[in-house]
Amino acid sequence: MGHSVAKSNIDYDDNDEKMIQDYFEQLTDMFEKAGFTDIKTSDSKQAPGLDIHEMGAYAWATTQKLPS
Amino acid sequence: MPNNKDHQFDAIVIGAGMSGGYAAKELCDNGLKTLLLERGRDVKHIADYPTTNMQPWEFKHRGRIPYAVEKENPVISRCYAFKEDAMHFFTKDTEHPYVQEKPFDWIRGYQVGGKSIMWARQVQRWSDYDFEGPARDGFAVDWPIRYKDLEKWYTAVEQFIGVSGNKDGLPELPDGDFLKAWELNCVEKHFQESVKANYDKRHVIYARCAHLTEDREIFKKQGRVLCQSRVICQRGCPFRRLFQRQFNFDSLAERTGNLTLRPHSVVHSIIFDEKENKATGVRVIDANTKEMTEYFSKIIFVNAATFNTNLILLNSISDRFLYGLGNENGLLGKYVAFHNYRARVSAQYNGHQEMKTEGRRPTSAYIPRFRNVFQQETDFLRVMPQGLPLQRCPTQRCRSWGGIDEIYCPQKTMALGGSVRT
Repeated sequence: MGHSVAKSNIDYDDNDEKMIQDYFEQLTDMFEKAGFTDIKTSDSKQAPGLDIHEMGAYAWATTQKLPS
Repeated sequence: MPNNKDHQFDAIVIGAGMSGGYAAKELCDNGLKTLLLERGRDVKHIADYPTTNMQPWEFKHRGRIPYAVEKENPVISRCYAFKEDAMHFFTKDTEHPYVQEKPFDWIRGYQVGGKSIMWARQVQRWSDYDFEGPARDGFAVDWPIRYKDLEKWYTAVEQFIGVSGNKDGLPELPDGDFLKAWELNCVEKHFQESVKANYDKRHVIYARCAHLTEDREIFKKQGRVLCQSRVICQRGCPFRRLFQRQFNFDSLAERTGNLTLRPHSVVHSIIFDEKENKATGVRVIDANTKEMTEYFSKIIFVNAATFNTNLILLNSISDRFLYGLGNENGLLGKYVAFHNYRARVSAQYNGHQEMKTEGRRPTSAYIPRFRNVFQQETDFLRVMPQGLPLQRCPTQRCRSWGGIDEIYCPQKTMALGGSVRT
């Protein structure tokens, strides 16, 4: 009968990149105001999934097509 | 087969992790004969926590993953909790391969209890700023429910599992029925004051976390005692002080007589009966014998976590559903949501040097989402909160070192901003 294997094709998009830059700016500002020093930002570039918070991949009970 | 009494139940639940375990509890308590299917092995409370009382020097590799295991299993080796003390609760890459057209680190725990054994215990409620997000910001599909539909269920779950936290009164992070909170440390309090003084609508709070910090009658009935702050939760907790799913199954079966738990049962697909026009059962492959068996029931809960739930539905092919059960719109297996954990901001704070570090705390401070909450402020959508562990900079740190986890250098205090999450 054979055995099906899952395929993953998931990635970040432009919204994620902008969000990361804003996070760096906002947290740096909050840390500076608190008198913290040696403030460093880093982007792990980790693949999706390692957050262990995936959800969805199904669009409720609707026949409506999602925007691509 | 449908006439075989051993194969006929009132309800079938696929997956004995966090949500499947809760579904089984509700079904059994309400008098339904329930079959709970789990693809992995059974994990018994205490008996199957081989490392829970081990001291650092008792670990052969002092907490590290052996090089050969790491090399053969690059995905699971990237998980922060995949260390020698808890590696037996994680599914290795080699045990269930998948094809990565683009890299995706699929972190799994195939066993009774699922990832509830190793989870990080964070249980923040959603608010209508979350539920109304897609409708307000014009992405995906509107949630069919709102906060008021879930509110009493949030409370019911909190009362059952036990959640420590403060009533912070924030509309973006609704309060619940909390047990008392641990304290923020002095640097977290300093940061909390600074943020309060400098920003409108930004808050540093204590994260709501599923640990027992107070006795209640229900916890006594569950045989649970107060959290001992061992901070080695991922090994399985003999005190049952944090919510781990598997400790309930024996008592559930005994109390109700309604539970049949079947480990090593990989669900192949859901059986769709065209005459009845409904799902009537499941096909199960025994992981050891590879034999296929069919079980039938009036209702079926699919609680196999995101990907395996999708895979089961996609594999449930019938003349009525050629591309998977309920997949008439072709969207099954698409539009996965996940959190963006890439970003980190760290800093030092040299104040409070007169203070000494004492004790352990199994959770941290937390900054609820402050961007794009009450209105759209940026050229990107959404944003999630950040975890905020503020701690003395460790000179030596190893997860398996349990009680000796905090050998700190006395001079520096490090502030670690957690991550942005979408």
